[in-house]
Amino acid sequence: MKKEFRFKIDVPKYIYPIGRGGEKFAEGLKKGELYAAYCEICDNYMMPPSAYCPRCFSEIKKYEKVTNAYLDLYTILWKDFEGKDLEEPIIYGFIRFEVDEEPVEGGLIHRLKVDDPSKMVLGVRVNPIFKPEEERRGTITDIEYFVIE
Amino acid sequence: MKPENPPGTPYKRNDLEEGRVLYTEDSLELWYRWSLGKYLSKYLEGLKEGRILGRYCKACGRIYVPPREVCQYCFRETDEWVEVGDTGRVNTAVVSYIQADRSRMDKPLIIAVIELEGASKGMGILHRLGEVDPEDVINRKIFGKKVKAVWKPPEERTGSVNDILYFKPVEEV
Amino acid sequence: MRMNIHLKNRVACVGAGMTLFRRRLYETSDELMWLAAKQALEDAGLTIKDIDCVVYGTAPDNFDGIHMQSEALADGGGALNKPYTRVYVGGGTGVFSAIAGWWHVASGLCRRVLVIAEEKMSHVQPHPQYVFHHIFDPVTEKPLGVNLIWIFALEMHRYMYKYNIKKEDIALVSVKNKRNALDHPAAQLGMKITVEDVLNSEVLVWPVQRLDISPISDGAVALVFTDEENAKQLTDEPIWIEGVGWNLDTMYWTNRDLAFPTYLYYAGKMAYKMAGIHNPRKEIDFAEVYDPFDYKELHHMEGLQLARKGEAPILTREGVTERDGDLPINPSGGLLGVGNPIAAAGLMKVAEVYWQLKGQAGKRQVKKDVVTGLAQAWGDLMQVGTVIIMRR
Ligand SMILES: [Zn+2]
Ligand SMILES: [Zn+2]
Repeated sequence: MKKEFRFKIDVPKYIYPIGRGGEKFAEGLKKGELYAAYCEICDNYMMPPSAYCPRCFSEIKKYEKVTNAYLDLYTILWKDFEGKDLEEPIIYGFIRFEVDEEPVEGGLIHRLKVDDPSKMVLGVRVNPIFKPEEERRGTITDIEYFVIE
Repeated sequence: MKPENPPGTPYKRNDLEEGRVLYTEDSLELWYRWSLGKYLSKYLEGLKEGRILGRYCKACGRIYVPPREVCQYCFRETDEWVEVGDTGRVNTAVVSYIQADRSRMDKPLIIAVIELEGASKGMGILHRLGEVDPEDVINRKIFGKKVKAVWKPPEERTGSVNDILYFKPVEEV
Repeated sequence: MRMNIHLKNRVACVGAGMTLFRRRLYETSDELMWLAAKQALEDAGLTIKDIDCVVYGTAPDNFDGIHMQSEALADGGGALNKPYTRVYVGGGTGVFSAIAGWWHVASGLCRRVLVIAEEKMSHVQPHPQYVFHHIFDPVTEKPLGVNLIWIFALEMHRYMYKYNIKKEDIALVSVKNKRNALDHPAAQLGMKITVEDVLNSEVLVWPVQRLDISPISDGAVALVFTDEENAKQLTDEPIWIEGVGWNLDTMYWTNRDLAFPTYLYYAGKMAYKMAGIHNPRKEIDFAEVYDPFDYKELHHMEGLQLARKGEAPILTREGVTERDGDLPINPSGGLLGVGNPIAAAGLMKVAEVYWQLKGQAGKRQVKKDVVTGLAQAWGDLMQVGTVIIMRR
């Protein structure tokens, strides 16, 4: 007796415009810079930046270039999506930021390239490595990875 | 007048293509393996044998096609298997010129809800009609007419609703 | 007011806001929610800090293309660290989110509730229509290549067959709603068309043609609900929510009566009973009924007992449902005219009832004096009816 039935749910393509909040972020990425949103009412920096403050609901008018990035957490991937061993493990870091020594709420998850594992300690300063300018599209993959300073 | 100055920034498709609107893209493909359960398994197995099966609820006397585990009116398990006929009457029919992704079909397709003979009144199934002039759908002459299933040859059947190619009229339209 | 259930609080609507409805909007889904919510709060004279709970409505995640959509978009709803609920009944979600907002306040659970409905269909490529393929039964229907317009066409044709209705009469609904939408500042498809234009438009699935159908849209709508005491502090003329109803028919849609929306008949009865309405045709002054397709406005008028079975096309032909008629239907322009960002479209209808009762609809204001209005939506696999009745 037939017991199983295979079918798929597919959508050939999604297109997500980056929107108002993503605009400043994208411009920054293209220039090789990272911007945080600043809410003047709550005196709060946010990353990734949005168009509005989720707490006071006011429109974000100021985006500030981050001045410091550091490794807050990391994880090491040994297997791919299907559970097969990766040729080389991939390290993902949770990167937090500061603007002029002020903390930024949130952060970014990104790849970390580590030459010397002994340097991989929490809190260490990291720097983004961008793709060549002509390849940047204003998306998060414009950053190839972060490296430990 | 409300709403006053409704906000929002419209854009056009070519704003994407020409780089005026930045975007990211992705796609979705999820594969499922559904366990069919007792009732649909047997229904598909029946189709493979050229038979249409339903379930009978003896509390209210209804015969359900496709077969169901539970009678929706009595909220109790249905009781028996019943073979209904592969003939029925057209409840409603339409002529489709488009596919699921909104693209045009090469050749129009006639779709109908067919109330099978032997099932309870109003228990229809969705299927195609064949050997019908689209005009007779458009002028609704096909409504209420008797139709019969045209099956694939037994060796080509897989246990699917597509084991029936289409239903065709067996009385004058 | 004659309620058949015990309510702790009488519920009022005190603010409404919405974005433009358009085929493609640049703002992200959460930005659209924020824009609509901000406008509704300003309309109510409140800030996000005054809101106790947030209710969010959207159609399947497959449109926006963000899984766990309500969680992902919570920031845009101002829902951070607040009780936050998503409700879902497909196309019926817009009105259902208002119903959920109502029960949050009516029960005494929350004092001020922000209700937001949002939809971004433009993300789907090549065409959002394709997502609807996945709502059908994967075993008995999807293998036939089913699309959503098939089932609407099948229902429309059965309705035409049973009551001997002409396409010309159905097309009048599209003509009326698109013309009404010319006066709606957020409308996507306000235009002057004729019955001939509808009858000459591209045939998709006979009897459904392109101008019989509402468009694909992006957009968001928000409302603010509060209890009686607070409403009276905020405004001299709160708009009261006096009846709600919802009802679901079987998923086996080919087993249903396709000529009459039974689910809506029951949903309407529930709402009428709560609002103490005995003769809907006389006591409802105007209605925003769900019109993703022109025939559906007629179908729904009959389900709501605003017309007898088969009578809605006649009322339409006689001009009864025009803005200056005896029973204006969809003075906003409806989904056919304003647009159809699914959940947001349903909530737009509730907003329209609010604006009409407040006398704030400007050029859209119906001619007669109105006290009682009704908004309705329809959804899931063509099987759910959601109804809300408001009074000034
Ligand atoms: Zn703030
Ligand atoms: Zn039964």
